[in-house]
Formats: sequence, structure tokens, C-alpha cells
Amino acid sequence: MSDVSSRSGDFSIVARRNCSMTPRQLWTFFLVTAALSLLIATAWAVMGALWVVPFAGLEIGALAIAFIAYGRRVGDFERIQLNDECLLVEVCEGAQLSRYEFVPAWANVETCRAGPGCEVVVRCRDRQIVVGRYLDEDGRASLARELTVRLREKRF
Amino acid sequence: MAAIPGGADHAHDHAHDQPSGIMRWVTTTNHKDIGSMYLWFSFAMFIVGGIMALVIRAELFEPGLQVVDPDRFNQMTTLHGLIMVFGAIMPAFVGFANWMIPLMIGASDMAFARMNNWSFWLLPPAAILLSTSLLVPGGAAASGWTLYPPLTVQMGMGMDMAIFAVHILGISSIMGSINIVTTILNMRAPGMTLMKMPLFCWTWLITAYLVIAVMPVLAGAVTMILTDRHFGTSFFNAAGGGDPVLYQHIFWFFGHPEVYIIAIPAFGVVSQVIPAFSRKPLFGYASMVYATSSIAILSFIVWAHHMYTVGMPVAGQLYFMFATMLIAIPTGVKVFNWVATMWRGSLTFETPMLFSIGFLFLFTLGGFSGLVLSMTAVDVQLHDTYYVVAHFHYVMVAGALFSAYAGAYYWLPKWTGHMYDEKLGKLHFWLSIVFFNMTFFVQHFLGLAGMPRRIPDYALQFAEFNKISSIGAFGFGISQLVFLVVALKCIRGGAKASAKPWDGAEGLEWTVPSPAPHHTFETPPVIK
Repeated sequence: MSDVSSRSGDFSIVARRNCSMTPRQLWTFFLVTAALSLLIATAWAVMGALWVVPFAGLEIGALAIAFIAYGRRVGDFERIQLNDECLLVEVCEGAQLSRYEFVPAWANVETCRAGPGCEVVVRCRDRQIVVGRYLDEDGRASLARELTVRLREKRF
Repeated sequence: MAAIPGGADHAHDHAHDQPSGIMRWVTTTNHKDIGSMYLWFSFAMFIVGGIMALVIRAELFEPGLQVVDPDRFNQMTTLHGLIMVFGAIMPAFVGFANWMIPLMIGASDMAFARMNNWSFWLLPPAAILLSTSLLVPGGAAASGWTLYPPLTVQMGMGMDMAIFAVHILGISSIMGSINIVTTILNMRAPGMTLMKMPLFCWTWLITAYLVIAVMPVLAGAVTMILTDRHFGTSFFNAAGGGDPVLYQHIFWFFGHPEVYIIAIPAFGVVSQVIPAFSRKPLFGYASMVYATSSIAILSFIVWAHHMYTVGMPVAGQLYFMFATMLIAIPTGVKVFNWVATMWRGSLTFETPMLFSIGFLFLFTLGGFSGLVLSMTAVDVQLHDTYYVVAHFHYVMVAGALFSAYAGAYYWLPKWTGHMYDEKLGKLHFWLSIVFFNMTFFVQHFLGLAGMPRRIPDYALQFAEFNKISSIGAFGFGISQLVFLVVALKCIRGGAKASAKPWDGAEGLEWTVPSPAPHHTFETPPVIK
């Protein structure tokens, strides 16, 4: 999924990891599941079957860890911004935000392969970064085309 | 600045990075590999559990004790049940889920690929524990798959092995379910709303939810048996003031949803196959989703219909009777929708469709005998007779197994890249349906005549029907080997399968080549 904006020669794209549920929806699902599981466990505990409670607790804990582990990735994104001074690539993975700056006049864009599994690589002298990780093949191809054109404009 | 490590690791086919040989299978995190392992494992356990069934039927071929002593007979019935439920049928549908859910929702893999590997590799140790418990002093658990106390409090170390195996299998199921829930909720392709999902994914979402809700109950129950056996507690030990009936309530609170944990994914498979071979969309998609959800919800509130003879107030009997009968309504909706899907469709009868129709016919019969058993007054007469054995085998074998075969034949071309041998497939179906009915239909008569279940010997009046049932069982067992031949032939070669070998099939899984590449949908497709 991506948002593209382009204005007066500048260019910006934000691509996000696909996630079909919002964190709020996911937590609602979790709370309903946890409530049901703990309700069942409590009912059995009241009847004398105490050992159901720790297992329900362990399981709900495991579900919470799974949702948190996946939820940390929901906010992952990749932002590419190009203006006269700088080509900025920001990559957010989990809690880590990395920023990479290139001089537009010296940067160029390459696609490593065509078709399935194609990669878009931004190179600047001895540095390189793969971009477009959250885009599909068509999206990567069009990103590569767009960036190439924009960088060429910045060069002259 | 250097390249971002792993920045593109999802963007190319890295099958070449995989270890080869046995280590490929031990370390794999690929959903297709893991799905294949689940399916092979379940088939292997199906053969093991099937051999135990044949030992049972050999013993019951004629009155008297011929093949095994009564204690070994009880061990066989117990292990047959545990292995078939936890080792064969459940893993089979988890195998389908692993293979097909990511392909159907346009995801690259399961949400937690490494956990997926662990979920699978917990199964073989559990299977070994269960199978080898036959060899330990005192033999395997002999209490029936329900593991009722006080028998379970008294048995030898085979019982501990069974409890440990149930724990391991439960952990595997929970890990698998958490993975499936996370995958389906989060990784659907853009545009694929919940109500656009293939019904197989819906049925698995509901099943996974059921597993998450009831597995701690089973784990708690068997742990309390363990502490009663070894740590001086008296949860279920009447000698210490415990209540064995409490165990039955706990077990069936797990056990009845467990029936639907097995049946609901089977509904999902059939809901994919019938529209494909009717060349029509599934009739009443939304009502199918709601009916499946209703069945799942109702499964929580009907458990004590397994316990009418244990003793309960009349009000309780009436409640559980009517609640059980309610399940017939959403089930009827589903059966109606499958039939309505076929109505005026361009039907063809390839093997997957034959197994689906077989499922539909026989599962409905099993449902009807379930309705009979739901009536308290009737159940008191039929409880623990062969009528019950016939009923749940119509649900479990004709329901779950036939559906699993329908799914296997339907997706074999996608998995292997080759078409299976249609003649052998049809032979497999016809042998299966004839021998299945030969085995189990007559058991209704045995039950109505009063033959109790879980006995190695019986009165002479039951001899003829038992003989027919045993011959049918051996025929059914041998005919399952036809499937092994079909599957191996299909893996080794055969006519090349196109991306969509069934012209009526719909869904994202048919947009990738056959066999499905090692990595698919690395960037999700957009659903219009």
C-alpha cells in the first residue's frame, strides 16, 4: 500500500506493510478471545477444576505475544522523499527508524531483475539501498521509472 | 552507508538458500513444506490408527477371544481414538490450512513461520509417545479416548505417556491456531475483506478460535488426572473425596467443540470443491459464514448430551436436548446451501466432487443419527452401544476423512504440478464408500439390538452383523492404500497440470503456477 505525492518537482512516496486489520480491531479481537477464555477457565475453577486457569492464562499470554510481535510490524513503512537538496529514504522496522540521505545529482536507480522478484536499488557512489519492499512488481517498476526521471531532472 | 541487511530478502525466490536433504524438512519455515509434512504425517498416523482399528475388527469378527486379550483390546480402542482424532484428522486439516490459507488470502507465508515449524515438529514425539506406550509395562492407556477417571487414575505408565502426548499435541494445536488466526486477520491481500475470503479460510478462522477457547480446558483436565495419579490430589479420585463426574463435564466441554474442530474445516473444503465442479458460486456465502459461526457457538453449550446416563436433573436433560437439536438448524442451512449450489449447475463428477457428494450424503446421515441421540429418552437406551459408534464414524470418517480426500484430490495438481490418475481416484472413492457403509451402517443395527461398545467379546446374536462390519473394515482399510498409490504417482509424474486445472475453480490459489512456486505472493495482490 502506498501514498504518492508529487509537487513542483519534488517527489514523495510512503509505502506501508500490508496489514488487513487495524491495531484497534486486532486488540478488540484479542480482548474478546481473552475474556471468553478466562470466563471459561474461571467457571471451571469455581467448579473445582483449578488447573484450567493457568493453562488459559498461558495461552492468552501466548496469543498476546503473537499479536504484539505482529503488531510491532504493522507500523513498518518506507518513505522516499526527493527535493533539490536531498534524496531521503526512511525505513521503519519495528521500533527502529533508519534514515539514509543521498545527493540527488550523484544518485541513480537500477532494477536488478525484471518480472517476479525484481528489486529497485538506489546507488550513490559506493553506497546502495534496496527500496520498494512493500510495493508489488508493478509498483516497483513504476517507482524505478519515476525516480529515474526525477533524479535526471535534478541533475540538469 | 551499505545496503540494508536483508532489505530485499523477501523480494526474490531464495529456494536456492534452502538446506537440502533431510535438513530442508527439519529446518523449513516455508508454509508449503510444512503443509506437506503435516499431510504426510497425518496419513502415516491414519495408517497406524487404521491398523489398530483392524485389530479391533479382527477380534470382533466372531464371538469369543481370538486375536488380543481384553486389556490389549481396550488399549487398541483408546489409542485408535486418540491417534485418529489428534494424530490423523486434526493434522490433516492443519496441513490443508498451511498449504492453502496463505495462497488463498494472497499472503507470502504464515505470520510466524518458525513457530509453524515448531508446531509440526512437536507432533512426531507425541505420536511416538502414544504408539510406544503399547510396549511399556502395563501397556497403553486403556480407558477409551475420553480418558475417564477412575480408570485413568489407576493405570500404569502408559497413561502418563498418553497424558504427556495429549499435552504436546495440545501445544502444537494452540501454536498452529494462533498462527492461523494472526495470518488470516492480518495478512489478507488489500481488498480482501473478511466477507470476501474463501469459505475455507472462514472455517479455519472459526476452528482456530474454538481451539484457543477449549484447549486449556483439556490441558487442565489431563493435568488434574496427572496430579491425582502422582501428587496426592483428589480432583477426580472418589476415594479422596474427588468427583469423577466433574472430569466428564470438563472433558466433554472440550470434547464436543473438538467434534466441530474436526468438522468445520471439512465444511470449508467441501465449500471450495462443490462450487468448482458445479461451475457456480457458492449459494448463500454469508449464510454459510453465519451458520458456521452459529455451530461453533452452539458447540460450547451442548456438552452434557454425552452424559445423559451419568445422572442429571430433568431440567438439565431438557436443556441439553433442545440445545443439541438447535445445531440441526445451522447445519441444515449448510446442507441446503451445498445442494442449492449444485442445483442447475454444470455438474461434473471428478474424484474431488465424488468425495464431496459422498461427504454430503453420509455426513447428513451422521447428523440424523446425532439428532436421534440428542433425545434423552432414546439416548439412555442407546448410550455406549454400537449405535453411537456408527453415528460418530459417519461424522468423523464420512465427514472429515471424505472431505479431506476431496481436498487432497482437488489441490493435488496445485501441490504437485501433475494431474492425478482419475481412474484410480474414482476407484478409491467407490471402494471407500461401499466398504465404509458395509463397516458402519450395520453398526446401527448392532446398537439398536443392544450391543455395547468397547467389548472384545459379544453374544452370538450379534455375530452376522459383526462379520459384515469386519469384512467391510478390512476392505475399507485396504482401499485407502489406493490413495497412497495415486498420491505417489501424482508426485512422480503424470499429465502436466495448468495453473487452474479445474475450469470452475475460483480463488487466488489458482492464479499461481502448478506446482505452486516455493515463494508466492511476496507482495500481496490487490483484490478488486
